[in-house]
Amino acid sequence: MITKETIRNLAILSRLEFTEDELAKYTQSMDDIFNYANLLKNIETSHVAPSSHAIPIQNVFREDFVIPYENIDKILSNAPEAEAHSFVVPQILAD
Amino acid sequence: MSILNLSALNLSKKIKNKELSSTEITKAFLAQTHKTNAELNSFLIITEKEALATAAKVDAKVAAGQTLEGLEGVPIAIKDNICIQDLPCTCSSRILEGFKPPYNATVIEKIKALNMPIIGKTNMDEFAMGSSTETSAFGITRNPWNTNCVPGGSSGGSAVAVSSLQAPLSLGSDTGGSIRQPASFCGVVGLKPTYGRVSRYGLIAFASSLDQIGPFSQTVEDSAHLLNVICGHDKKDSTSQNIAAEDFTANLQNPINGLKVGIPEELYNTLSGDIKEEYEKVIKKLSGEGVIFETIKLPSLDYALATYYIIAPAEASSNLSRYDGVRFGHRNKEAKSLIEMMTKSRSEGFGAEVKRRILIGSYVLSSGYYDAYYKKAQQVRTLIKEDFNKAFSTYDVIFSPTTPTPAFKIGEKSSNPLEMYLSDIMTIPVNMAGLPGISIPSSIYNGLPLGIQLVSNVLTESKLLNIANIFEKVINFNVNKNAFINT
Amino acid sequence: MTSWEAVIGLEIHAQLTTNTKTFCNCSAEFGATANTHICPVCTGMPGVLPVLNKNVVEYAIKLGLATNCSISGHNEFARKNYFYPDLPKGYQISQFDKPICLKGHMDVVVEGKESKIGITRIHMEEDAGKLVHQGSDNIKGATHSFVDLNRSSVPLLEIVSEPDIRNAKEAVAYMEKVKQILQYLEICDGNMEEGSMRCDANVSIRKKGETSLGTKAEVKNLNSFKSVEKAINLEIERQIDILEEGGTIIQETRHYNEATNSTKSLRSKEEAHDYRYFPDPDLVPIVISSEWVEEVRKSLPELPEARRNRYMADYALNEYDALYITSEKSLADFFENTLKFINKPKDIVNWLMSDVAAYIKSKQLSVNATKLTPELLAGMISLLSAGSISGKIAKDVILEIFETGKNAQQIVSEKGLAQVSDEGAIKQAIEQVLQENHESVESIKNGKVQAIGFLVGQVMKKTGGKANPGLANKLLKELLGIS
Repeated sequence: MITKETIRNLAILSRLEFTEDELAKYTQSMDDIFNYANLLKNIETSHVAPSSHAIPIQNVFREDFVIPYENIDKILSNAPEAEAHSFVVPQILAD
Repeated sequence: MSILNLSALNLSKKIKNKELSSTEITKAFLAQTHKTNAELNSFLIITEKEALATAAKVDAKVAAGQTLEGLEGVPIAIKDNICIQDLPCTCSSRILEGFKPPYNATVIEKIKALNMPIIGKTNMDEFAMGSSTETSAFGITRNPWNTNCVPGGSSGGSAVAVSSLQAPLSLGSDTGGSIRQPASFCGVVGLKPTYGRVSRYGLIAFASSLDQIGPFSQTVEDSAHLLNVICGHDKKDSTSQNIAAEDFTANLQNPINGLKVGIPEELYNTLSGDIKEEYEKVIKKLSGEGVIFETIKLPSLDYALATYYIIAPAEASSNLSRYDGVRFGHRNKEAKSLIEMMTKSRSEGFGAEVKRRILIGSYVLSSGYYDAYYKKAQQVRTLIKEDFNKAFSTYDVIFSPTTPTPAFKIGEKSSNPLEMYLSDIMTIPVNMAGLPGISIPSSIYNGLPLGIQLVSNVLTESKLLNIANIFEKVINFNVNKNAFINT
Repeated sequence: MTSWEAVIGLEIHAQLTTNTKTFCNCSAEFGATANTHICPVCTGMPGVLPVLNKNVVEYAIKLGLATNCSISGHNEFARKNYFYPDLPKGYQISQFDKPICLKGHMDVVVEGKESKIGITRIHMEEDAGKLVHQGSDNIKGATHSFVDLNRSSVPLLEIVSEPDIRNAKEAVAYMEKVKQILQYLEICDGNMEEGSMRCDANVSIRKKGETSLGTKAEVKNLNSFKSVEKAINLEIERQIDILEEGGTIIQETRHYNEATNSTKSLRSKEEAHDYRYFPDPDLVPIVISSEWVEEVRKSLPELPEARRNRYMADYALNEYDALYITSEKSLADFFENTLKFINKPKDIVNWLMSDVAAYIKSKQLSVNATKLTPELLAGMISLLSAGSISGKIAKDVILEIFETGKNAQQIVSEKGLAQVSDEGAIKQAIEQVLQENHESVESIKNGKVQAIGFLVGQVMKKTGGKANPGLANKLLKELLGIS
């Protein structure tokens, strides 16, 4: 059972904010979706290993040598606010 | 015959034997794009200048007597979740406002190296989350067969581009059917390669363990040629398959006598009566060519959709955390504190469906629900892989409709997310198992195309394309597209 | 007071000295200008993917072997999801339920008492970037902050100890031991000032004899050995005060302030933390075969204990000296390199423990960072043992080497410091001393033989320290007619 409180907590965790109306809508649609997803309870999996990948690959590595990146300015020019060759963010701790 | 009606392979031949220049071809497709885009809204940006510059380069090579390779000089459209350096890349989302990638996706490096003119970036469901291209922040894309219908999604723009002859080829991405479903809705060929066949580097992630880039084209043969261009191991993608290169066009004409095809009843039985009849006709036609069809059971497929709508949002909720207004994209400038800035930027930047997937994903990963949903879904994923594996020990290929219905009406499903999700029921299991799958047009139903989906074992695209190529010839889906040119 | 016992566990983050970051080819070097060691991957640009630096795995295996851990055959990376402006992807790639090293231990000695500290786990993870707060020295009061991503994705090993530590001194000894091993393995420079080693302490207390654990507090921001010691003592006292007044300990995170030597509770954020760990789908499992582990084991350098034992056996050093010399790898290496030039282990050790130690301590330098090289030290010892300079002069010579980097022979000849062993010259000095010190001469003649030492000292003074003291003593006795 998905409640408004569930959605409210998930919103804080996800850095999202909703109006009361949106909260109600998401509560309803998520409840529908999880009612459907609960059909997974019908399938026995206690001895099944979970798969994180579609196809198993292992041990992919990179050698430890430096390749300086040449387009740093193109990264910084994407910043909504930049100063002193840095990204700028507003006050972290409110007064 | 118009330039626009030619297959990519024929265009490439004509460039090579100097019947047509790359510039003529590129101009023809650009003109069609300009003419039709206002109504269809398949392109978010049209990169005319860059495309013509590339075409001119190819023509100069021809003039200098240099040999061209593969699809060199043939234009292509790119889904707007694939990064091209210095061009806006939006994923059809406001959150990526102003973002210009500082680098090229690996597939773009390959396309640029081959001098394929890029016509533009195509519309899509926001962050590829949707099955109708209606969740785009930049307007819906319309189906050229019936402009009151959706083109499917999420790669709706790329499917429409090929279907409406705006480009002979395009690239899309497929996480749960986002290439095959719109290909089916728009009457074109769409191929999702094996997971890891094509590098994901530079593909803006939706669900990392499911995403795969693939081609749209008019013919199976064209998709085989384009796969030759974009595939290959990439050191920048840890999940990329490190295997020897092969030519996917080499076996296209191999005979398929005695081919064994499995039809999973879990998928086939969901069809409604008269649509089922359409597919019965296709099966009958192919059986006449010595193909053996058998109904099979893949019991875990009943759970594939539920599994998908847990795993994909879980990965997505995490993949979308980087859109925080700090380094790129949309930022709310009025916010007084960091947390307010992040929260407002994300709330303003993401659309409703993306937010829903973030909520679903955060929920299934949160403590207390992880085992019941996320871990459970990963276990079912294992069962889906095992079911397919078993089937491939007997059958060469798995056959099903690509979608349960032809293209639906715009707005028809947008108020009911679960119903929208159900339209992916045929295509989703394939991504769960990382298999290659292709959709080819099979018939017209009420003026809209239907498609069949063929799926083969991992890394057997060569065989899959061979079978699809022969099926394509047998089915002979031959539609006069002059109507599309004259819109 | 004495009825309480502290239970302490440490979480140490060690920054690895790989050339590149964990998941991209950017330099991992410390101290560069802001945002000059960045690329699309470590700044979390849309569409990028991580590829693991193999050395991070090798370094982790090395540390695991050196701390008696078992190495996990199957390893996965997980995403730890939270929002912070120094965390570009909105998640940190770390290891969660499948860490690379498990169940090790280290022996530490405090005031002659040895104890075994268990290691729960060691795991690999990437570091976050750095925030530079503006308008104030720290986050509180800052009006805005700059984000520098040079450090973003630099590799870390997190070393989690069992709660086996019982007091602050033991905690420091354990940390020093960890630092020593990291340095011996050459996988971390151990520089706490630059943040290459950072520590959090979990502290709880209980009545002596009890076996259950009390409620713990996590103390963060321990950036020096002194901070570790002070903050732990502070936290133990705070908890004892609370419990003795009948209060209860709250499980919380406390921030240590070195300037005021106090800790402060970090207000719990408005949300409950839920990191939503899950396996990172962009990375593949790392399978470590026993062959790989053995290969790394063979490449391990000699560790402190082994070196100490070898020094005692091969060079006849006593345990105290051997411990001292092996306490830092750089010192032990210096010792061995000096031995290559002169085979006088005890003399080398004496110099390293006295004048060299004093100099590097006063300048706060490592033994490698001065102008004194093993060859120069050997040269100086060689002059001394040949009798070419006196011990007193040698002390001046070594200081001169530290300042100029010149060799001892050159210094001695430039400054005319060679020891005088010419009997005539010394006799001349003795005669003058005898004339100037009648009283001493009288008392010696009256049987107070020990006053002769004073006269020898006067002769040395007269010769600017250059007279061979043994010869001066012998000649004095002859002239005074004492046998």
